[in-house]
Amino acid sequence: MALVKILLIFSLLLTSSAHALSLKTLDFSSVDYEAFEKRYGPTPWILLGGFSAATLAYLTRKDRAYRKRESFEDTRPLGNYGFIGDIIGYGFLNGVYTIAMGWRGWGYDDLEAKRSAELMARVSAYTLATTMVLKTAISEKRPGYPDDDQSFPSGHAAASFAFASVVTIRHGWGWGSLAHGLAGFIAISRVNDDFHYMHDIIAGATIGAAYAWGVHQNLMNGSPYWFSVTPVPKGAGLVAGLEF
Amino acid sequence: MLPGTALASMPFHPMGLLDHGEVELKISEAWVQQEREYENESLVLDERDYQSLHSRLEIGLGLWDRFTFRGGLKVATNGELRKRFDSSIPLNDDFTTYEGIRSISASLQYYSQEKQLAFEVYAESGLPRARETNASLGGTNAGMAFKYLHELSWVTIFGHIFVQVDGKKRTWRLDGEREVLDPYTKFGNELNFRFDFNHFWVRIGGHFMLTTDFVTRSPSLNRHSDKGFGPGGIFELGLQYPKWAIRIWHERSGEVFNVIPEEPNLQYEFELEEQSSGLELSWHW
Repeated sequence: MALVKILLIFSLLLTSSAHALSLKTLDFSSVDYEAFEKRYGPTPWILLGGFSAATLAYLTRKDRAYRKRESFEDTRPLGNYGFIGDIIGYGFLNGVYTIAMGWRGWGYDDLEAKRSAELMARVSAYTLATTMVLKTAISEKRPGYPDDDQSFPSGHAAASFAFASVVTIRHGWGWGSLAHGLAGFIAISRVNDDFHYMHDIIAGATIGAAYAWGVHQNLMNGSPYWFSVTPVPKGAGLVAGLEF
Repeated sequence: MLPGTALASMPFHPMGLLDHGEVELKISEAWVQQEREYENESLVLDERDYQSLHSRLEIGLGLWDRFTFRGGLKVATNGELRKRFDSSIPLNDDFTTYEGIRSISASLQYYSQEKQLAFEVYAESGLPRARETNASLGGTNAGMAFKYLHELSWVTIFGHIFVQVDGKKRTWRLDGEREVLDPYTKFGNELNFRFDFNHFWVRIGGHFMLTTDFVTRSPSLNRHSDKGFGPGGIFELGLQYPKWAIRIWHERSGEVFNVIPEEPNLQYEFELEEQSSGLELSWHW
């Protein structure tokens, strides 16, 4: 139940802007949707949908699913190729992109490349901090390896969807589609190989994508504030910062 | 089995969006076959084959600016159910026909100014007292979907990321026992490519989803699984004019679940396979 509460609190906290808007008025025809979309971008919808989906997946899961063995071969969509997602999902994509764009940006004084490197570095750092803290605070056992309690949320899914979202933001949906396909493969590989439940990868993907679009939107609006989760005695805290 | 109303194709706008005051009426007829198999090492232990004609009526309304509502009614006719069991199962082979109201459905979606992104919530519900002879869905399915659309000069790419909870279903079997299907969640993505040639279009699409556990319970038979996945695809041809459209389609989908056996060396699995072929007429004003 603790996980359910955390998911619900996160969902409410992080989508508070969307809730506040709908509570202000019941007359939908008078809401300025254009201003809302311009101010917040897709982040509230990613958070609302992502955490709702993760909560539903968690609620309809049976706790008896722990087992010290992997799934049967016919029920693994990626068969024995899940290890590919395991290897490339450790944040290598984020690192290689940041280094390559940084090299181009500072080496050839390319402002757009510098911005790409900066956005990927920031988003990856916030995503990593949040997922590591949540893994430690929640300590959920992995489905196929119950001796390991780092299941929720999926760091692979978080890092890969942060990467895919930044690629989409900086290079458009053409490259973004390929990056999202790769991120989807990495996330599925984690369920395929019994390292994660479905709600782990949905929550991870939501965290990564939300940070990418949220940080980008804040930079566009000239309000580069950020927040992250931090461990505190007997729990976790929310830290916010504002650059000025 | 397929994720809700969100999967339906929309002739006048690929995401099914309607402006304020617009109305759309759709009537469709589809031949639907579903197969449920419980297997051990490819040996079928129990099998249920459903096939019926699904008639569907749907109306769409552009309520306010950027909000579209859809309501639908599905009726099953000419239904046939065949059940076969291995000798190790304490149930007998059986056959019955069925027909009746399958479900009612409703959906509401909010879309962006450019009509390239939309958020939809939907629900589909059947009669509460479902029997194998009355075709009812037996419970409620509900979900939400993020829809996206990208138009190039030669192709329209659209789809949606969906999450759907197949709610608890209670069905009275022919042998008098009540079978319960526990709720489980589907999460996945559907991607479509639509090629337009003047008034004609061709659509090729597919989806992939992950699921949580599929569990069925009854006094004489329990089945437990802990996760699953499902691929699917659709091929569609259509003809569209400003006020009306017609389309035909064939789609197939499946779900495979990892069963939790008491004996871990046995490779048990649950398989659901579905295919449908249909014809739909749409009017728009």
